[in-house]
Amino acid sequence: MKRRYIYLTAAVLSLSGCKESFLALAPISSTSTATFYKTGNDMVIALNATYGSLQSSGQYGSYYVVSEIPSDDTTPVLSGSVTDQDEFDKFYLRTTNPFLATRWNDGYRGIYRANAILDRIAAVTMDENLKKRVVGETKFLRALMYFNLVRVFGDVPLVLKETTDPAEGYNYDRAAVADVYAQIVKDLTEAEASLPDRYTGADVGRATKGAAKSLLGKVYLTRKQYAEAATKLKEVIDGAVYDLLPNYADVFKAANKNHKESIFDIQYKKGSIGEGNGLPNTYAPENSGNSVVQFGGGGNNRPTADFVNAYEAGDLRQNASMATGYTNAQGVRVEYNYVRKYSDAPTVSGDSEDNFPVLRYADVLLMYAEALNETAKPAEALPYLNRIRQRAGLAAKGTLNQAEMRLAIEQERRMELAFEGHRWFDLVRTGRAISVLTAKAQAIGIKASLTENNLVFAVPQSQIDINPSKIKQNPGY
Amino acid sequence: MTQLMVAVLFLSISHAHKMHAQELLNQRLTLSFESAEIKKVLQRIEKTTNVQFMYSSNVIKSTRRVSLAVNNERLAVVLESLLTPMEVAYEVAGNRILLKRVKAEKTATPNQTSVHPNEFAPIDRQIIGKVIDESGGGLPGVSVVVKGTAKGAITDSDGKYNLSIPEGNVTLVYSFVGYEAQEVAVGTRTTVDVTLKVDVKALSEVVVVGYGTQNRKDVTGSIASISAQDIKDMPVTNVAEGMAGKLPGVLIQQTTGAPGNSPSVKIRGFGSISAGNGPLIVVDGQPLNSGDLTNGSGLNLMNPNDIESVDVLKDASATAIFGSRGANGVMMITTKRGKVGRSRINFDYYTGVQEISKKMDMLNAQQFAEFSKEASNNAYLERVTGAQASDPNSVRAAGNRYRYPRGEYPGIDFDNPASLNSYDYQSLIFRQAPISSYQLSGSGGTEKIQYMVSGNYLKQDGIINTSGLKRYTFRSNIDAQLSPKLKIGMSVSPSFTTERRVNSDGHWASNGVINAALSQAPIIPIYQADGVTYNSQASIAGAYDWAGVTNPVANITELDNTATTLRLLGNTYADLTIWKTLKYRATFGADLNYFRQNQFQTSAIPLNQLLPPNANSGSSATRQSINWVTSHTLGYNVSLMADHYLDALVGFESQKNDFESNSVNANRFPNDIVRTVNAGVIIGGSSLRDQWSLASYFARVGYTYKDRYLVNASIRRDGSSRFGANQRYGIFPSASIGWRVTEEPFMKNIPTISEMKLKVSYGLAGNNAFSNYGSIGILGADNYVFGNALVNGLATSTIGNDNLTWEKSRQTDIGLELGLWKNRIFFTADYYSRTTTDLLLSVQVPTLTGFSTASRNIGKVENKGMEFGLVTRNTTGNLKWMTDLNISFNRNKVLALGPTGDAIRSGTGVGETNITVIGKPLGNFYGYQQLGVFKDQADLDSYPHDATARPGDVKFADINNDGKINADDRTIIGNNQPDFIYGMTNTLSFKGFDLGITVQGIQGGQILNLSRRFIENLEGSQNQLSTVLNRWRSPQDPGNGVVPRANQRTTGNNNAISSRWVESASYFRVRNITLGYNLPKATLERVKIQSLRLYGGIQNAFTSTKYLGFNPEVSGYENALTGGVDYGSYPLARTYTIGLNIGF
Repeated sequence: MKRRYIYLTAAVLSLSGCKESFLALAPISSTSTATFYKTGNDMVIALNATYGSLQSSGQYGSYYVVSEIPSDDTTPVLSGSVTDQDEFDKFYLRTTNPFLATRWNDGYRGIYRANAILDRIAAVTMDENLKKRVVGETKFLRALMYFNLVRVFGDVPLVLKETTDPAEGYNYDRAAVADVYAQIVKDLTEAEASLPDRYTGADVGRATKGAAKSLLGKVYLTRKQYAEAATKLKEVIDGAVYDLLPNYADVFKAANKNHKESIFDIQYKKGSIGEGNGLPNTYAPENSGNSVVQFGGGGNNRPTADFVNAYEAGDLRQNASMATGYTNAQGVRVEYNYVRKYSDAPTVSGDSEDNFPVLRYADVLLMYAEALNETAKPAEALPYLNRIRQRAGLAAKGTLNQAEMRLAIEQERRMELAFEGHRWFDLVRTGRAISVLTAKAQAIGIKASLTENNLVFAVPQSQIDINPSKIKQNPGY
Repeated sequence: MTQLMVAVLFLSISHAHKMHAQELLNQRLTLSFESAEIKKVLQRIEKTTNVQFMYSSNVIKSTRRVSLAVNNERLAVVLESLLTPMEVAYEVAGNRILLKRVKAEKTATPNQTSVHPNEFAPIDRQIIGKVIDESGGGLPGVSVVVKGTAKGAITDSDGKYNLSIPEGNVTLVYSFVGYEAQEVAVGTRTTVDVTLKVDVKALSEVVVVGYGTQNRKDVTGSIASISAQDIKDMPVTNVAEGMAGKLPGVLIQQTTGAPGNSPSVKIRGFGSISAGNGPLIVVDGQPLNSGDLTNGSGLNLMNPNDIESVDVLKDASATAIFGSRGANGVMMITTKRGKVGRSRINFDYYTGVQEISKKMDMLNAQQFAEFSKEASNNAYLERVTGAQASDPNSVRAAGNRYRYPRGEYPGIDFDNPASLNSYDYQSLIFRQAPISSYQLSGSGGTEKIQYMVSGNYLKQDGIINTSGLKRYTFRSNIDAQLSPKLKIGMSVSPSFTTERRVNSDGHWASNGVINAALSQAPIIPIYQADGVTYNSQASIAGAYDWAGVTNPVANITELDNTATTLRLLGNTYADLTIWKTLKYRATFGADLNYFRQNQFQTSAIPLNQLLPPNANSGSSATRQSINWVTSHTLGYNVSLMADHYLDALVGFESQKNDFESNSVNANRFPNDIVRTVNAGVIIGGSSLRDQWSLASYFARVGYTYKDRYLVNASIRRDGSSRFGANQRYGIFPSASIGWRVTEEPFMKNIPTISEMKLKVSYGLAGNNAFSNYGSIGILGADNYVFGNALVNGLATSTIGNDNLTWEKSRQTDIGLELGLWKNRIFFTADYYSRTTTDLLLSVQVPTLTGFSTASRNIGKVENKGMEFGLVTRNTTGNLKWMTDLNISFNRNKVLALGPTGDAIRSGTGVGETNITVIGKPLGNFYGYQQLGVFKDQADLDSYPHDATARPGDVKFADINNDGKINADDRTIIGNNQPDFIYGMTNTLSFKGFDLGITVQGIQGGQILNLSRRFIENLEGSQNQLSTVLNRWRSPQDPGNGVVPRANQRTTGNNNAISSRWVESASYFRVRNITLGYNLPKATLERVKIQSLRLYGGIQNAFTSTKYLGFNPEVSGYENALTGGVDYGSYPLARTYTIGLNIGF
């Protein structure tokens, strides 16, 4: 009797042995890194997510904060004690500003994704043509991301391999601007070689050879390598893949997206699938209800009076780009400057169809004109400038000398590419930021004593705090 | 056999005593007598076993001689072999064993086991009577003894007794385990009825420990206990609420007053940073899902009335047996079980009303208008050259916050404040809310089967309109002795809860109720001109660049949010006696939880900046968790040669949790009538599943020598799915020793000291309350669009760590227990030191890696503290007065952090608000130190300031003395952790009346009141605390020197996180007052009711605090790193109740 119990107990106890399989539980609802990056399809999915990172707030989601707010074009909405955007506008940037942190963090998050693909793809068995294209696209994206980091922060750490242990993060210093640009040029050159001229069907929107050339042209222009810039941009023009649309307003219509003029867009799609563009709601005036864009607006990135006054009479672009007020639900007109380049009606707030243009053909033409002018060929630049003016319904310019041409191009870029994230970087590139903004300081409400230090923004305090021995602050912050 | 049954009967009756009678009879003896007087034999047994025999010389002639030889035999067997030949039977009552003659007609039926007086002493005089308990029920098994003799009787199943006593002045002593003994002088009476009072102290004589029970006297760990008695009249829906202030070392904070929410429970401070800080909850031996470790939410669906006791295990020697889940302490919950004897039916009911205990003092319309106008003018005059305060709005540029309402909208003219209507939005959202609870329970049993069943219905409306809770809980506990060797039992507790939730805590922009009610300008009518359509600040905001604060009333009425939870908590056990000393126990428990939530937002609700009609939307979500646990233990206990007692246990346990959730969202409903998602257009959904598992072996051994030297040791090995493949197993040992000094012979001469015990323990426990897949690298979706169609994208979102393992918490405890004057004063003291290493930390890493955090085992934190408890019986006569006082101190200190010792900076939705650094406690508030307000230009010029600062702006300290005010000047400006916590409960009773008062409080510690970033931001477009009446207005009228100037366009970084928002968290609270009355039995007998008690009480009667917000216990971001941040939360109610308890 007793013995039986002992056997029973022993049997139960022995059944219990804690099997390794009982404890080795793999995630059910998420993919584990152990099972990914194995096939060609995995690599394409990983690449899609790298494109996906472009939509993040720190990259193009709130790009206007680093590219337009500091310029003379726009000013932020007033929001009491929240000075995050005002600090960019009026140049009293605090190092803890959250836009700095997201700009830095989201940039490197995208770069990590690119690095992971580039480090792993060699070992993946897949279609070689596809592999080549994936590598090209990835390098284009990495270059674009570094270009946006180096223009915002100056020297930035140059991370070119996938992080496998977070401790590696403490090893990176800030690399010199020149080194970062060297890498950007290298990546773009390699991308250009392996990317196709155009895509069809389900791949429309991926980086093309033209996108790589255009971006490389912009990089050379920024580095004042005008001859190289002119060569590269001329290749884009000669390639005849792209052309201006006849009507300026059509360029920004959601229904036309990925048209002949667009070279590289951030792609968006509405329909509550997490891929909508938030800018229409971000830019519509505060408390405007449904009068401007469905579901109201944040009133951000308000065009300044200086900008509104910069339009020449009859400029067809003004109405397509912005408005100075709206009629509210009660039929009352409310004065409020706002951007309306992106104005597709969302189905839920922040979910519009509009793409955001990163590179478009008008930009290429104006950059080419600039490159020619800087290589002392203002006359050769003139037709390109006038193509843009004519489409805008403005009279063609006559002969201009180099200095006049510089200003004409600057003005044309300002109006043509307004609210597409160019103005601040243009002013910095051309060395005009301090003089232009200082001259307008009173009118646009910024401090008059801008210095070279203000041309790059502060490194986020959090990244200095975490690795103070390697990551140092920019001068003046 | 009969005798054994009798013993079982009494064993079960003495419920408070739990296994005591059984233990008594299980004591082992080694005796050898040859033809010895029976009296001597019995004396010897008395001496070695701590029992006392009661018998009449009629029953046993003491000179009778017996022979006996037993070796390590149970007392029961010894008695049987000794007494059966003499036709003598025995009964156990407490530690007394009553000997009596076996009568021929005796049967096993318990009702017939009463003792007949004739069996005892010569008839001198007959006394009859009845012994009842406080509820009026007859108490069986009470020993009634003639003082100074061995004469006595035991009450029958109705509590009646019959006894013959000698002539003269006789005093009878009534005693029963678990009750206070009573002495009564008989005088000339022939009937003596007695009511025995529950001995509160004795109730906790047995404490529940991991995988078993222990006698309180043998405990060497640190365990604090609370019984049903201590919480019985409180209108609490969660037992933890009732525990506040009653247990040393246990900090219970009611951080929100929302019905159905649970308080946060922390035992001995914060031992962890990223993993949970809440205790493991074990119900009837069943550890709940460790996801419930935080905030005691596993207790939410348990009816407090079903709980018999809660034993809180605090030190490592008590918790180490729970291994990787024991580090934050363990709450052992024991539910009520049936007892042998007459069936009892109880009906308990209370009803009451709750009201807000405090309203915030906000501006009225006139004060607001004056303030808002000043804010607009300040912004205008400062920025526009030549501007005059008298300039009309048309002159002031739009879009700059220069304009203020001047009659553009009817009835809103700040230049004519007297004309303004004032709306008190707090009074529109709060209400007096009823609460009621109905409970019917029945219990009873035979010696073979005992049962307890209960059903409870609780209906609690929330003090915020429309919020509320309905809860149905049922419990059935059954125990059955299937055979002498096999006992099985089962507990099943289904519950169903319906909660009507309101969005109380959110930002007004996301339709938070409280935030909107406080922020809404008091000049904004609730409805638009048509009197039906909801209005909001958006109706006028555009014209003045104001914020579009939503409508707090609509935020309640136009948002449906109903959550239902169905839970089945159940467990079964089987106890098998293999040998008399060896027992096997198998348990299986399951906790099934099914949660559904439906939300609908109507088109009538004003949204941020948007007046209605707006797009309606809805969602539907379900969550299901299935948790099972099974354990198998072998227990061995033996007494050797009377002086040695050994108790050992080995076992294993495995547990697994499986969680699944689904949700569906829809919008574009055709109308607001059909509100389920099918009526709208489905716009998204998700589905998720995850699991964890745990497999463990454990062992424990306890040894007692001469009842005075106590040694306990335990060890557990845990394997957990949560940790890295390389670090899956951990071992958790502990040991403790105790010395009951009062058992030493030399202490017998000091009668003042009735109990004195010293104890020391040391052990290791773990903490695995961490994400299920924290050690595994996970990819997250980041999709994109190509060809104008969605394409899938995946990217690494967390980086794996194969070495991730549990936190290890090493704790030393030194304790003293001291009872004086027969324990009329009972004092306990504990010192502990707990060091947690291998802290599970989501370490911040340089984001250039692509990650902002990575999970690591890094860092070390220490908690040291003292706990004192004092129970005194101040008076014991007709007026009984008992005081229970406790006070606890904890000091928390971070000893190591991160790979480079860097500070951990953490935020609460508004950027960095907290910092954790080495050498300081966890979770300090981090920001600027306010020195005051710049009084005038001279003051401004004389001290470093923000570039935008003007006179009237906040003066921040230049902490690093570099002549600039910037991010480098941020410093530690407070911490939520208290210096000490205390509580005191006084219970008084006089005749039928009883009064209980519980007070408790927290001293030291601060709160970061971030709500004031809304309601004291001085911006002028949202309502403000009345503190802004003391604002700076001009150098001549500088206010109180703390509140800066009103300004629509804040300058000087005034609203940065700073000491301006830091407030004292100290408070003193009268937590509960209850006055009860037991109706006299004589009255009740006529209506056949055993007992009837009426009572009334006030919960949260009074709070003394300097805190400006609703509740100083607040913690909007409950977490070790960000505790004590108030960002608006559901206030606590004061509750007035009346109730009754009826026993049939």
